[in-house]
Amino acid sequence: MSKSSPRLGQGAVLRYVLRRLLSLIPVLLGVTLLTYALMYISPKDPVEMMLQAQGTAPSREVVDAMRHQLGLDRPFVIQYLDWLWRFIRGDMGVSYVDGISVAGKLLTALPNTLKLAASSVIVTVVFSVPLGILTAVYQGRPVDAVIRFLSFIGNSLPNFVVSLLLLYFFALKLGWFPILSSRSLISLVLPTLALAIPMTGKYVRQVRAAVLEQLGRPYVDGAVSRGLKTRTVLFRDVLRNAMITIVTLMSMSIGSLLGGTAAIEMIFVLPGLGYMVTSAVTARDYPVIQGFVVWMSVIYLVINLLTDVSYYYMDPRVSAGMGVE
Amino acid sequence: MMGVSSGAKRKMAVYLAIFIALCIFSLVSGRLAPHDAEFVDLLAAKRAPGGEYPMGTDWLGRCIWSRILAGASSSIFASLVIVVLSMLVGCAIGIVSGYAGGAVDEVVMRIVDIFLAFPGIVLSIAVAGMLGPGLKNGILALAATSWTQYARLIRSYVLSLRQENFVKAARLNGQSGLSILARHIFPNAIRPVVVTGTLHLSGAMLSISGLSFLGLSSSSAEWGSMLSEGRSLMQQCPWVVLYPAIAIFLVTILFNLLGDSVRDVLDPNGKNKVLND
Amino acid sequence: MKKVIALLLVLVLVLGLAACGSGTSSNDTPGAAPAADASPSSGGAPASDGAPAASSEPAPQEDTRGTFVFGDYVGSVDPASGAYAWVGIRTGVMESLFKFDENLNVRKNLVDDYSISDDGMTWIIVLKDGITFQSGNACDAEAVKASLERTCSMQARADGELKIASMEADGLTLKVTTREPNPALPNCMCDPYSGIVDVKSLEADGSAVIGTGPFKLVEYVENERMELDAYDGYWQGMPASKHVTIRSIGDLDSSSLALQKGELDACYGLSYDARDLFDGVGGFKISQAATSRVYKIYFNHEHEFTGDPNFRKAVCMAVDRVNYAAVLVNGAGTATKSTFPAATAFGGDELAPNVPDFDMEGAKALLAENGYVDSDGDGILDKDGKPVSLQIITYGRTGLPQSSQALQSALRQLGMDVSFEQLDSTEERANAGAYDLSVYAEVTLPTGDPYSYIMNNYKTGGTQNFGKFSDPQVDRLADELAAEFDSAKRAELAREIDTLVLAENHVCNMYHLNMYMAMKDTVEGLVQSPVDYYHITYLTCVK
Repeated sequence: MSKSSPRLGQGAVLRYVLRRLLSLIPVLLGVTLLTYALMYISPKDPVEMMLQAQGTAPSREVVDAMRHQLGLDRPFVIQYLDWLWRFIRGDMGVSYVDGISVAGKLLTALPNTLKLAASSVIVTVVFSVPLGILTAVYQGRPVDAVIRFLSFIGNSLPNFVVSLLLLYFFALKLGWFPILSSRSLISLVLPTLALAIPMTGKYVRQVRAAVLEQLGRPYVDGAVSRGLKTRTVLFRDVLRNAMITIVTLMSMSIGSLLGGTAAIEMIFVLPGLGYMVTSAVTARDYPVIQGFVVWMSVIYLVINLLTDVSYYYMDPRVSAGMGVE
Repeated sequence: MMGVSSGAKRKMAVYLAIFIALCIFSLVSGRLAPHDAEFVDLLAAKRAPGGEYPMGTDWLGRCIWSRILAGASSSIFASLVIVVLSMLVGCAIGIVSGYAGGAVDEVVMRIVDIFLAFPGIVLSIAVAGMLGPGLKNGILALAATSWTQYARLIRSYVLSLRQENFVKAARLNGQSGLSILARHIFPNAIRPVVVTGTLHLSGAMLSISGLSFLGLSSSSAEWGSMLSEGRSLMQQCPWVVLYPAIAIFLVTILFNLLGDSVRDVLDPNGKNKVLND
Repeated sequence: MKKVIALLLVLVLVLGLAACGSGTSSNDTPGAAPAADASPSSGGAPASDGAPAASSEPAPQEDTRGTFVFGDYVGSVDPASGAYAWVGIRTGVMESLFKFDENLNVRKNLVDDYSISDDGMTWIIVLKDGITFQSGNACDAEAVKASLERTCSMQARADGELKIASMEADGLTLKVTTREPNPALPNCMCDPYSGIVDVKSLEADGSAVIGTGPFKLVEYVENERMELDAYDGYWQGMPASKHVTIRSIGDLDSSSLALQKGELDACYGLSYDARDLFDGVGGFKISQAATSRVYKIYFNHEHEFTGDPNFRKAVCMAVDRVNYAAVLVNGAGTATKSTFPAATAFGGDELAPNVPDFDMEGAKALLAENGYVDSDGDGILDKDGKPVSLQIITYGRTGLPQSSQALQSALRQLGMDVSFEQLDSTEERANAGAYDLSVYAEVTLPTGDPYSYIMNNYKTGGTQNFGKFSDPQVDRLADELAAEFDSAKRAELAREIDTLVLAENHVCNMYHLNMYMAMKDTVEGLVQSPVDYYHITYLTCVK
C-alpha cells in the first residue's frame, strides 16, 4: 500500500478493481439515503409542487388521495426501503410528474449529455495542451503572459453570461449558428464553446504547471547534456510524464460534465441530465432524482477507477499508489 | 526556477495588498453609495446611465451604481466565507482521517466518496429548499459540496508526512498525537491548502451567480443575482447586466492573479495538483 | 533550438484547430446558410420540415399548407398524466366536452346539448354527431364514458372534482350521475383532465395520445419537441397548417432570441421584459389576455398591527398597483381592487369602495390619525410603545419578489421597519403564523367558477385562508354559493362576498396577470386565451 512497493501484477490489479467496485455498494446506499432524506425533510412534497404548477388549490381530500396514490403517506424509512427493494430488482420506478419510467427518462436525457461532454472535453484538450506547453516553454515571455491573461478571462464570467453572449452575437447578430438545437452537429458548436472556454482557461494553467515541474527535474538536464535534442526530451519524456496531470484533469471534468450542466442545457435547449434533475428537484420527483443520483455515483466511481488504473499503465512508479488516493 | 524568486514574492505582496484593500473597501463602500440601494422608484425604472444614475437604474428604478457598491461586501465576503468554511471543515476531517488511519480513515473516506459522488446541484437545491433561498443558504450549500477537495488534499499530505523522519522522531520522543499534528504535520500540510483555497476563490464567486441563475437567488444587492435577475434585459437595457458583469469579471481576475502568485510562492514546484472544480 | 519547439507547437495547435473544425462539422461552409432562415417555413429543425412527409404520402391534390413552429411547454398529452395534462389541450391534440370562452364562461364544445335533473344529481349530455378520433374511431357516448372512467381511475384530482358516481352511454347520449350535487360539473369538464382520448386505441404502454383535436401527435421527445400532423378529418374543418412543431422552452432568453431570429413562428411563456422586443417591433405582434391569476397581499389577522383595519388601509395606500402592473411586470398586469377580473361577472372595482388608491401622503396621515407615530424619534413609527416592525414573506414566482421589494421600499418610506424574506414556498410559515404580510399569487377562477377560491381563501378555516380571516356572514354566503345552480345568482353571491371581504381591506388585491404570446406578424389564428389551456387551433397557421 505504500508508494515504494514494487509493481503489482495483473492479478493484483484485477483484485484492486473488484475491491473498488464493491466499495460502490456502501457509497450507493449512502448517496441514495442522503438524497431521500434531504428531499423528504425539505418543506414541499411532490403533490404540493404538482398542484402549485397547476396554480390551483384543490381540497384537502384531493391532496390526501393523491398522496396515498403515490405512497407518500407512508413513513420515510418505508418509502426508502420500498424504493431500494424495487431498485435491487431492476425497477427504478416512474416519474411522479408524467408517469414516464425513470430508466426511459435517463436514456432520453443521456445522448445530449454525452454529446456535450465528449465534444467539450475534446475541444478543451486540443487547445489547452499545446497552449499549456507553449506557456511553460516560454515561461516569463510575452507569449506566456498573453496566454495566461486570456486564460483568466475565459474563466472570469459565469457560464450563463458567456452562453447568452455567444448566442446573441454568433447566432442572432451574425447568424452563423442556430439558436434552437437540432440533430445537426452545428448546433453543438456554441454550447461546446461555452463549456470549453472556461475549462481551457483553467487547464492551460494546470498543464503549464505540470510541464514546468517536469522541466525542472534533473532528468531533463541530464538528457540535454547527453546531447539529446530538447524537443525530443520534451515530447518523449516531459509530455509523457505530464500526461498524469492531463488525465486527472480530464477525469474530473468528464465526471462533472456527465452529471449534466443545467444552465448550458437550458440556454441551448439541449435537454440532458442536468436539465432533467433540475426540474425533478424542483418538482420533488423522488424516483427521477434517485435514478440520477445512482447514475452519478456509478459514473463517479467508474471514472475514478479508470483514472487510477490508467496511472498504473502510464507510470509504473504510481503502481501502488492505488488505494491511497 | 526551483527557488522562489523575490519577484514572485513581490508580486504576491502586491496582489495581496490589492486584495486586502478591496476587502476593506467593500466593507465601507455601501456608505459611499449615492442612493439607497434598495430604494424602489418605479417611475425611474430602466433609466440609461447618466446624470443622477451614473450606471443607470434597473427594472425597479434602483440605482445600479449604489447596488454595486452595496453588493461588494456580500459578493466578496460570500466567496471568502465559502472558501474558509470548506477549508476548515475539510482540513479538520482530512487531518483526523489521515492521522488516525485504519478503520476511521476507511469510513471517513467512504463518506467523502458519498459527498463527491453526490451531485452538487441536488444538494444546493435541497438546501435552498429547506432553508429557503438566500445568500447564507447558498453559501452553506456550496461549502457543503466543496469541503471534500480539502479533506482529500490534506489527508494525502498527512499520509506522506507521517512517513517522514522528523515525524517519526517526534513520536519516538514521546510527543502526543495532538502535538505532533499541531507542531509538525499541520504547518507542513497547510501550504497546499492555502494555495488551493486562493485558487478556489474565483470559482466560489462564479458559483454564487450560478446558483442564482437556477432561481436560488438572494434578494439583496449581490453581483451574481443582479446579473442573473437582469439577464432578460440584456438586449433592451444592457447596462443592467454590463456593470455587475464588469465587477465580477475584475474581481475574479484579481482572485485568479492572487491565486497564481500565492502558488508561485508557496508551491513553486507545482506539487499541488489537486484542483478546484 | 527553442524556435524549433515553438514551430512544432504552433503546428500542433493549428492541427488541433483543424481537427476541431472538422469534428464539429462544417464550421465554415454554412456561412451562407442562415440566409435560408429568412423563409418563414424553415424552423431550424430539418426533421420537422413538411417536405419529406409530402413526398412519401401521395397527396391527391397539392397541399399548399405550411408548417408551424411554436415555442411552448413540451410534455405528456395524456389527460390522466397529472401535472402536465394541459399540454394535450394546448397543442390541439385533445379536446374536452366543454370549453371556456374569452370571459371564462363555459361553452359547449363536443356537446350538442345538455340538461340537468331537478335534484341536481343527473346530467344528460348529448354529443355532436360526426366527431371522430384521429384514429378514425367515432367519438360517441361510449368512447367518452370510457375516457372519463379511465381518467378518474388514474387521477385523484379529476375524480375528486368531477364526483362522477356512474355513467350510462346510449349512442350519442351520455347520462352522468354524480355522488352529490355538483353545479360545477361543466366547468370541471373544461379542465384539461377532462380531455377525451380514444381508449380503444391506447397503445400497449398505456399512454393516451389519440384525441379528437385538429392535430395528431406523431413524435414526442421529452423536454425537446413534439411533432404534430394535421388531422384532416377534424370535425370543424381542415387544419390550416399541415404540420406543427412544438419546441420546448428551456430558458426564457434563448426562446426570445429564437423568435427574434425567426426559428420560431410564435412563442408562449416569454419573460415580461422580452415583451419590448416584440410589442410594436416590425415583423412581430403580440396577443395578450387578462387572466384570473391575482397578485395580492394577505395580512396576518392575528397580529396586532395587521389586525387593525386602519393600519391595513394605510398599507394598501402604499401599493402603487397601477405602476406595479405597468412597470414592475412590464405591462403584464391589469391593476385590480376586486378579487375576480372585472371582465367576468364576479369582479369590478365598484365592489371595493373602501379600497384606497395609491397615496403615500394619505397613508402617512391615516397612520398618524390612528396613533402610529414616531414618538421616540428613532425614525421608526411606534404605537403604544411598540415599534412597527413587519415581516413580508413571498416565494419565487416572477413578479412576487419584485412586488415585495417595491412594497418593502414603500413601507419603509412610511417609517416602518420592514424585512423581506423569499422562501421556496410560504404555506408552512403562513400556517404557523410567522409573518405579517405575504405577497402571493393565485388563480381565482381555475374552472371559471368563483366558488373554490372563495371557499379556500375567505371561508373560516379554508385551506388557503392563511391570514385566519373569519366573518360569519361570509361563511353563510359561501355555503349558499356551494349549493346554488343558477349562474346569475352565483355571480351575485360572489360579488356580495367580495364586497364584504374588501370593506375592511382584509386582503389587498394588486393586479391580475396578463399573459401574452409573441409571434411573427404573418401568423394567423393564434390567440392568447385567459386560461392557458388553448393555444393551437385548426385555424393556426403562418400566412
